[in-house]
Amino acid sequence: MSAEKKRRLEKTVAALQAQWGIRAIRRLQPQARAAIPYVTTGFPSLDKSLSIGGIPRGRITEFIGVPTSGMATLALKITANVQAKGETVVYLDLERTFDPEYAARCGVILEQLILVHPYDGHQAMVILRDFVSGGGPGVLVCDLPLPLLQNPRLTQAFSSNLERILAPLAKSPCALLCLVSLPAGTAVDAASASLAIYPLNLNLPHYATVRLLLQRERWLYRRHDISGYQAQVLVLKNKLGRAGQMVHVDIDFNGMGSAGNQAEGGT
Amino acid sequence: MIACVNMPYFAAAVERRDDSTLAEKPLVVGGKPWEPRPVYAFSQEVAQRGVRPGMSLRLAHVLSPDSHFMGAAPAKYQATSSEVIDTLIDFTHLVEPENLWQPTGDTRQLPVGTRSLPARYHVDLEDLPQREAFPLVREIGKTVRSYTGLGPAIGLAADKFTAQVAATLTRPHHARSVPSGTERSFLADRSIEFLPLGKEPARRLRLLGIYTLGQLAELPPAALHTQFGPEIIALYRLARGEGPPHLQPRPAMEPEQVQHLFTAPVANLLTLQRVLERLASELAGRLQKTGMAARNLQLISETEVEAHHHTQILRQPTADPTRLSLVFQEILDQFALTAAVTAFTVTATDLVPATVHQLSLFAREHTTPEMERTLQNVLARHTTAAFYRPLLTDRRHPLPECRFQLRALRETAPRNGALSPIL
Repeated sequence: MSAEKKRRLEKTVAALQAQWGIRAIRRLQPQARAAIPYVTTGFPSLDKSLSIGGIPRGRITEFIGVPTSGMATLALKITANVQAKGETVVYLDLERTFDPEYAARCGVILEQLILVHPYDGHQAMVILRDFVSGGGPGVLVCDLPLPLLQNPRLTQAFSSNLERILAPLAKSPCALLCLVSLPAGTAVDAASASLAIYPLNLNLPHYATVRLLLQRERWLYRRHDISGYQAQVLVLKNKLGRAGQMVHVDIDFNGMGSAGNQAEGGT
Repeated sequence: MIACVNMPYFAAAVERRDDSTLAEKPLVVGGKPWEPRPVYAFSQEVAQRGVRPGMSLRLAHVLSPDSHFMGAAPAKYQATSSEVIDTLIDFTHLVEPENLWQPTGDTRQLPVGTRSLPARYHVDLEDLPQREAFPLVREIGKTVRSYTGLGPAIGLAADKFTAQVAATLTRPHHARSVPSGTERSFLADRSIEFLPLGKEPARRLRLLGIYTLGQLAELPPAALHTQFGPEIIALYRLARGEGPPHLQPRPAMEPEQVQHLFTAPVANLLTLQRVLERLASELAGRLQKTGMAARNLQLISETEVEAHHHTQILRQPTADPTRLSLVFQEILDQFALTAAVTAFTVTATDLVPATVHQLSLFAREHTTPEMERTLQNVLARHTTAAFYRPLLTDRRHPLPECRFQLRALRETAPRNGALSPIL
């Protein structure tokens, strides 16, 4: 840029700043990225693929999958990791399928867990909002069952509640995990998770910072008995890093989990 | 860096801690003056009057007639010493205790640092930089003082001997650090009596006019070797501040082993698993009794045809029966058993002290005040919803729904702010 052009540009900028304030126009400067607080998942390779080291706090993370795809186990592992730091976890169990014995096997400290059985879907949303606004729990797990997601009025209510909790959630140390169950037996892939099978009115994908698609790949056998399964976790969306990472995790029915050593690159 | 935690006149300090009326009195531990026994321990005031360990109580009474004479309680001193070790192990497992407070053998030629019959513990801080090590050492001192009620003197240096000398020259409740690279100059003016020399070498060194460690360090090592033999070279290195920078690893503990012999060969997998569970439970009981945890587990399965061996190295040492049982089950799965089993032998080796976890040391409240407040508000607002804390009641119940209980939470009065469970 010639000196004349540069001088004219500076003059224009100065005039704009004089008229609209000094913050109206300013140069972009590289800023150091603040560390984002997170919760580890208990699976090192998955943590690595999430760029920041785990599930972000103060944000919404969505787990999508059919039943027995590893969503609940992953949520319980995260719960155990948060409880190890002395924090309390709230589990909204709309379907009433929470298994304390399996949770204990996953390392969850049951004394530090508050299990909520709401009367209906509407009340669940309000309780969710109240807990987030209070800023108490370290992790809030919201298990969204299929019947709730198939009800257009409830999904609409859930979506409107999500808008309201975003601001208090951002100020709280709480990581909100939403477990979205898809119909069992359907072939799930990245495209269908975001389009065909996914509930129409639910705008959770829009507000979620991280979206993980879980799929069961194969059963794991010990002798002739099924002892667990291998699940594939695909990072569908990640506002804090690169999406498209794929990780394989081994989930044992004893509550033990081990990260697969294969992490594949983005697509 | 090595820290030396020194507690001079240990037995007397323990007695004074337990009985505050002895605080001002000169103290001789071992018995009454008329008893034909040697002095077991004493306080600093008595030492200044010439009383030495191993001396008869009668002579000690002649030297210090106004002292308070009392019997020794070695079990109590040992328990206090164990408390100190437990406290130090919370910081690092590299702890080397020296029970110098128990006078043994010839006590007439003790090195300077051990004449006060101290309890001494060396702590290896590995490669921690000195600027970070010194605050840690002070923290160690505070913790030992708060847990045991005794005032340690701590020396910090790059090698063990220099740390020892620094600790000996430091007053109780204080810490002294010798900067790296200055060990030789720090030791130069100290007496050769700090070295664990025998009576004859010490006498000969004195005849040669060598009184300080600095004078010894200046001598040519070949000449020393010729005069005193090869043993002096190790002491010569200590005098130069070139002692070993790390502690020697402790000898391995004796492995724990449990065996089960079947009266008749068994091929039923469920039976084998139950037996392994029982063996794991017994092994865990033994480990917990000795306060150890196993890092290495071995299972030997003897069949009618052959014996299978497999060893599993654990990432974290454990003494938990469930964890041990799981590992043995995994090992059993790896055996391709083609014949009935006649015996199981489980062995735990590579035993390490089971250290206390930080979480249990600094256990936090289950709920924070913020969480309590939030929960109170939510409970007050949503009376139709159910809030529970799950509780496992019977893990082995055949019906899964009978293995746990949900304890309902209810709103409490706002002034105490606590939640009470109702069953």
